[in-house]
Amino acid sequence: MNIDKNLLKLTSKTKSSFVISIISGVAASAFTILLAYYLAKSINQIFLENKSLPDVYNYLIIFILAALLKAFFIWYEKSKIDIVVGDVKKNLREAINKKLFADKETILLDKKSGELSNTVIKGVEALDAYFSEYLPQLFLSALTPILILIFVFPIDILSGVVFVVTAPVIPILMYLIGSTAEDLNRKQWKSLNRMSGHFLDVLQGITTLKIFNRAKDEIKRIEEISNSFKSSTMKVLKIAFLSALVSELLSTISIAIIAVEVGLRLMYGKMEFESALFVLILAPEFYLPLRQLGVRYHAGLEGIAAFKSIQKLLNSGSDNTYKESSFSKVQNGNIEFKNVTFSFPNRDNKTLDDISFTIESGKTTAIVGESGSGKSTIINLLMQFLEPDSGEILISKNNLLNISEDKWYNQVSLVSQTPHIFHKSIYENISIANENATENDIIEAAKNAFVHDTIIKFNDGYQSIVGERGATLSGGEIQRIALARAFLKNSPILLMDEPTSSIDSIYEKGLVASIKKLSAGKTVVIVAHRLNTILSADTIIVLDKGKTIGQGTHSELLNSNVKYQNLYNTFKREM
Amino acid sequence: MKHTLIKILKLLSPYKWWMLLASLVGFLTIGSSIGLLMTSAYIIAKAALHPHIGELSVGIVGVRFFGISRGLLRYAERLFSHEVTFALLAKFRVWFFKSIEPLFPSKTGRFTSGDLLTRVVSDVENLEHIFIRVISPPFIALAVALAVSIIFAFFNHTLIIAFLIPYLLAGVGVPFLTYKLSAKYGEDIILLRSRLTEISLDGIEGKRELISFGKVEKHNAEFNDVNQRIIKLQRKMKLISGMNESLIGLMMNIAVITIFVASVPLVKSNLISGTSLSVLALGTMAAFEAVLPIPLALQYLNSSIKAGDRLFQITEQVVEDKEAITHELKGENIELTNVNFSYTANEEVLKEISIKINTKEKIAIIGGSGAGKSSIINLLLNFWKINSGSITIDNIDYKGISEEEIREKYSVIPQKVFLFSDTLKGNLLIAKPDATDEELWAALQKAELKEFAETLPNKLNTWIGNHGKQLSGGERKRVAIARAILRDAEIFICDEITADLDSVNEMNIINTIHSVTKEKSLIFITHRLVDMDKYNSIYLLENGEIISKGTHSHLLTNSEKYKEYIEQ
Ligand SMILES: Nc1ncnc2c1ncn2[C@@H]1O[C@H](COP(=O)(O)OP(=O)(O)OP(=O)(O)O)[C@@H](O)[C@H]1O
Ligand SMILES: Nc1ncnc2c1ncn2[C@@H]1O[C@H](COP(=O)(O)OP(=O)(O)OP(=O)(O)O)[C@@H](O)[C@H]1O
Ligand SMILES: [Mg+2]
Ligand SMILES: [Mg+2]
Repeated sequence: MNIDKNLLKLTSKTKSSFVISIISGVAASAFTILLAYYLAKSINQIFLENKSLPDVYNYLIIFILAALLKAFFIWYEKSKIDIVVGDVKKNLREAINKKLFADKETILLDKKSGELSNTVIKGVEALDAYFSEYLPQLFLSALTPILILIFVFPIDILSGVVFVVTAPVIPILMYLIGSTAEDLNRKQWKSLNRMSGHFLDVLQGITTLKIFNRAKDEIKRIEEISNSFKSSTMKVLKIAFLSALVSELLSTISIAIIAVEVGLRLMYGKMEFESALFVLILAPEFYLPLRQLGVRYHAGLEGIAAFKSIQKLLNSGSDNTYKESSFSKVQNGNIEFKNVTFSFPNRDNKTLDDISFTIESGKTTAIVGESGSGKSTIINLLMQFLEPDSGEILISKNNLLNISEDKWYNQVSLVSQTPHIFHKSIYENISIANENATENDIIEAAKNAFVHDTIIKFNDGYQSIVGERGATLSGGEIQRIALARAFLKNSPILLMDEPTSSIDSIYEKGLVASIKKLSAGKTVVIVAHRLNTILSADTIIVLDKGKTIGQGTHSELLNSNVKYQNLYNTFKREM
Repeated sequence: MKHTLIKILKLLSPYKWWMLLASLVGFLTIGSSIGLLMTSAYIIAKAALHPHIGELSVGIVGVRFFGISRGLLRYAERLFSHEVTFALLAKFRVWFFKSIEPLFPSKTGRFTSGDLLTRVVSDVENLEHIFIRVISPPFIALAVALAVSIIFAFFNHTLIIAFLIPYLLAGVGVPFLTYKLSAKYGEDIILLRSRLTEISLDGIEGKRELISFGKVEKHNAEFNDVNQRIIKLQRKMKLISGMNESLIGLMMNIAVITIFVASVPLVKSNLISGTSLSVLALGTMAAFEAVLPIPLALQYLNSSIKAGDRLFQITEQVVEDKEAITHELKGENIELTNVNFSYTANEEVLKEISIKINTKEKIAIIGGSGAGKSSIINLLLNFWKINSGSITIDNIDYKGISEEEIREKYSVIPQKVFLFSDTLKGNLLIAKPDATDEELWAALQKAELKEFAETLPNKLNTWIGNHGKQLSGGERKRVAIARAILRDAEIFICDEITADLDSVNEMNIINTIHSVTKEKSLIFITHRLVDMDKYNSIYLLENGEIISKGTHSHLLTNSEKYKEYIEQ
């Protein structure tokens, strides 16, 4: 039954609409009372006072006017609350979406993308019922009955007492059931979220499942999940229904009691018919908001549960408000790793263990090492996607962490090991690297990446929409498009993680040459398993299990470094 | 549109008795409130005439009865109708997944996973509520109209008209008015929400690129734009639906007036008694509860049909059914003869491809990026259909064999590895659901991953991140290799398995593959020409055509192109 303060805070900007909406709701109730009053009066006039129809015309006119005004205020109440709801949903969704990117890597690695998108889209939608139904009802269910009581008490004390005694039972009951229901609801929301994540995973991985003939089994699993979701939802609902049953019974029985109690007093002449009828007409109106509160409370509970997970998301991780850089420009100097140690929070061992080396400005530095030795982690640190646990990374002697992301990303291009291809045209996928690029620039970049000839063979050339995550492209085509982005961006620092791993040797030869051309005068870090791509690097850093075990040129390392000799000789043998 | 509704109703037909029961109980619930208010009004009107207490007793029993029955009936109605709803939910979801499964990957066309997710979650939810929101309200309202008319006829038949006109205006006029005003918004909202999910997913998965290219703002702007459009439409929609409750309330009050005005002359001419005035007025008030949900029912009908359309659009794609003859395939020899293939109606990706793999033979397919190597795998796995030519296994044409049976024979390591957001174990078990932990560890060892897996905090039960993003590139690849080894089928297909591995790792893995396939057939796609003399034949592909084939030594002397590759 609680009002979550954080939820209420969301309405701070639209408080006036909210208040007006509540006032309209109360106004509508006032007209309900007026309607009851004049209806009772008119019936009484005809039934007992022996008046004729024209005698009550003026009552009927007031009745109709009141009905019109009531209709207006009900509509106005809704339209005002919608301003509040729309504003809350808009802002919250924007905030979550923003947070997803402000938080850089952490969230991405810890959550399933399906769960995240579910929180952004459906989680926010779940708040609709909370704000448009539950919250206003909470106020109205307090105000409307009080208003009715103010009119009933002077007319008939006994009925007023029946109202006062029975009414509080409903909210008390809801409060008692509420905490269990809230708990169940939270669990329910979590499993709904997990289910979305799972569905997306299955949808994206059906082809993989089919390779192993497992798709049919997976559908069975979905059936099981859906069925268990069904039974747990029924559990939540049964509680809701039970509380609705009790409040329903309470209100109908109270109406019955009032009818009998009023009827008996009427019979013994202790009461007027007009007041009796007035009270009877109002009786259902008195309980209605309380009953609705019960129903809407459960609609609102889902919103509360969703909001809890939204809040968790919004408050998680470091809040990466964009830093104000103290440098007007990132000097293009040496990049220095000084005793950098890094471990992933969910792993026991250190991924990078006290490593130090220098990447000289304007030169090409290669990083080699076994799979899993921490090469991509170094790149991620350089991209500020991760932050060192200890030690520091210096750019021209300035700590990388003090450089604002904006400025840093202006200077660096990244070709990641698993480039993401957006579900857009090839043109857009390349031009993402540089807003201002002309069509010629883009074609030029594609040519340098040896992908232009491939692209123009596609149905719509550069305008072809590539499937999700590049589904309609071959492995090598994806890599070449990622490289084209780097060519287009043409920034002074270039980070490349296995840029040619899926490219055949004939293309690779040309590509290596173009990369070399692009690299001239730039600070380049290149990670590669294929040693032929890095033989000509100015320095090679050898990484082993998170430690640097050698640095030098190819020939230096070949003479002094056992690990490197080993890597190179196996590579050689294969040639 | 009507067509879709019929199709939806067909899906509902197994639950027709439950639905009938729920609607009946729903009708009785409202009937009880009408009864409660009418008898209450009767008691006090009668009491005002100071009769003998005995004359009130029937009424007193009546209010007690209706007071209790309404609550209980409402409870029963809710239970029944939600039982139907959730049965439908599970049914629709499974039905959707079942129908979509055969479409992957060749017939999913323009449907993105975000779009499909919206369909399977939101559209299914939309349909799930079709009974409570769309089907039962009109039935109940109709039954109530009938019942009230019959009751009023006992008083005087002219009252029926006085009641029905405003009742119909509220139950038919108001809904149509608001429906007309808002119909197009509902549809747009569904589409925009699906779009928002797509944008959101694409952004989440491409986060590194967006951040590093400084495109986060642009992405957010796109997201916010769609979001704002949704909110605006929802608001417009609500402004209109807000009119429902208010207009129906108005109609109810008008009905009270018309009934009153119609009954006064009847009272005056003694056709009905004076007590009837309040009984009729309160009965009328109670009856309008039945029309309250109708306007929403109409709106939901529209969105249910849209949702239904979106689901049928996918589930009705024709998939030809193969006869369920099992062939007991041995997977001994595979042959592609003059195969032509294109993904879209456009240029052919593979032209006149003929490849033959005899039992336990090892072949290699090499060629430039985009030459069509992976496409051959797609065809062997029967993911796509060929334009012409034929593919046979054990000399039986693929056309006569079920997809499952074909795939049963292959162990595949695809080029684009897909890992599920699951534990390491969960990802391995896909290849062999009943594998023991020992088997899993053995496979990991062969895939050079055992040492790594032992360092994981929860060993096999460690969650490996969204799509395995908590593993390094090479580790992901090796998980896929372990899967194929676990599966242990007769024919191994390796598509660029060494792309993300260092040279030592690569050498070990290739040796492993050759040793596990000693008694099996192997199709090895690579652009790193290592140990090529191990293959019975090598196919060199260029632009979708086989330009040379033969053994390593044969090609070295006969193919310039091959020499060029080797010499790189
Ligand atoms: N998000 C993460 N959470 C936990 N562990 C991680 C995460 N990302 C990587 N790791 C682990 O850190 C280690 C180093 O990973 P990294 O990606 O840097 O390796 P790499 O040298 O690039 O390997 P490869 O050549 O296979 O790409 C790996 O063992 C990997 O499992
Ligand atoms: N699903 C698809 N829809 C449309 N076109 C596709 C699809 N998959 C691949 N293609 C196109 O077919 C051609 C051949 O692709 P394929 O994946 O077979 O190449 P590949 O030889 O494996 O190349 P790589 O060495 O780069 O992996 C490419 O030009 C690619 O763009
Ligand atoms: Mg890596
Ligand atoms: Mg390929």
